[in-house]
Amino acid sequence: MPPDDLGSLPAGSLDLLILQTLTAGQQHGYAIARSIHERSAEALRVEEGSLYPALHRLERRGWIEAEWGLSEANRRAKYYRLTRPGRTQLKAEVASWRAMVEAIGKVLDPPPVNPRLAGA
Amino acid sequence: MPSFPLPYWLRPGDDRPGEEIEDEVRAELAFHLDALADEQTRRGIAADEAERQAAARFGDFNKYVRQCRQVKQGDAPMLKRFQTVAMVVLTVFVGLMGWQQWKLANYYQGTQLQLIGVQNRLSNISDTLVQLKPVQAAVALEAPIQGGGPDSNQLTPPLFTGHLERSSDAYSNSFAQAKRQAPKADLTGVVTSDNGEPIADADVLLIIKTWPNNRFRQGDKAVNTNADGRFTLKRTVPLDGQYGVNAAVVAPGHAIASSYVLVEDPAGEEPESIDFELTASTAVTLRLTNRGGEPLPRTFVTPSARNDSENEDHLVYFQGSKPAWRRTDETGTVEIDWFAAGDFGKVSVKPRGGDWQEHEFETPAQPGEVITIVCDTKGR
Repeated sequence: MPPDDLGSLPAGSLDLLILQTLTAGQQHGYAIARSIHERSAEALRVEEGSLYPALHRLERRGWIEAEWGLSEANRRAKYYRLTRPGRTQLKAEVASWRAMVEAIGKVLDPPPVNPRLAGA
Repeated sequence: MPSFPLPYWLRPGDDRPGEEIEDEVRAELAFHLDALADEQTRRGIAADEAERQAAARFGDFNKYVRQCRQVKQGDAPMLKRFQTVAMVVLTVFVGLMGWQQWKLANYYQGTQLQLIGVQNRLSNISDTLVQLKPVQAAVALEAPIQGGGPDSNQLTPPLFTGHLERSSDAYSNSFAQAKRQAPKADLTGVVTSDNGEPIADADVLLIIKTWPNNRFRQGDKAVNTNADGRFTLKRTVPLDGQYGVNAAVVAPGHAIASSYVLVEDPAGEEPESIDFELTASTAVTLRLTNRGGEPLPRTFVTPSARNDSENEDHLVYFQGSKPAWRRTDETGTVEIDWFAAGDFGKVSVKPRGGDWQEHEFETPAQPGEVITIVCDTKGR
């Protein structure tokens, strides 16, 4: 476990990360977890215990589709693919996530006070 | 899974058997576990150790399988819950509808009775209103004359008046104002003895018949004469429509007398004075018994009719006769002086526990005689 591991993901971000990862094309669960881990510079680690229930939940919601296929090592693996509603959902979630981060950022780093407005 | 237009929580879950679903999830997770082990192996770790580490990192395999299975079929129980709730709601709804229907049926029954009452009152209102219009009052003149009528020769007064409406009821209460506005004339008269002396405190019992809006109405009035023997009833008969007045006088020491006038078209004229000349009466004692000869104490007696020596009939309508009621004493006797010698007198008697009944007798020439009346006291 790298020292810069941020531990568990913030609530609501796992679905977003899975959907975003699948924009690159269909992948199995293991590849999704690895991809998130690598693209976050090993800062984020997806627990298997939350990844698979999340995948099945997204599948139930119709945002992703699953299909059995063969892995690089020629093994049977279940591949997930983003659906059209999934893409729409991703856009919405990205937008709301950005808005959230921006809002939190504003609280954490208030803009400098304009001296002329502060006046007096 | 294809996307449904249905909301997520309404979509049917994976309805395959739980074992089949778990097998599939197990296969998926097993691939992941193997991939983890392969990764460790590539880092030069022995296969056994790699598998052990992978399993340790993966966590509770069976727990994840169970969780995934629940997610996949999760909404099937949800759907069943929804169905159950819908079923309960439907049952309650149907029950409520039935209850409402039952209540409505009861309500209609009650309402029908109320409606009949309202209809009766409405017809009373319209009668009263029509009376206010002099033009339409002319119609009343052609009204068929019912009950009573101008021919009062019959010796049978209308004893029971249940089928007759009392005008006082019809006009009272909220229609009092309309009544006041309707043109009405005073009714007056003078009661004297046959030698011309005015008789004070005589009971004058009147039955007023009117035909407002073609409907027969009958109301009773009672008044006493003043020291001049005069009686007055303010605003009693219509000035613009047919009316009939039966007046009977009951005065102590004098034979009862009655008169009937029918005015078909008053044409705005005040009614004529209703005058009486009373003849002296003969006091007799009535002794009331039952069929077994036992006296009937505390029994009401009221004059009903008198056929005088000139074969003229005098009627006291039962409806307004109450001021003339007498009652037998403990020995079942009562002294009356309603009839003159030689009259055929008729009295109404109400034995306790029995019905009103009429009894006729000839008045003896000498006062003080006792006349025994045997009453029908069925029910006692």
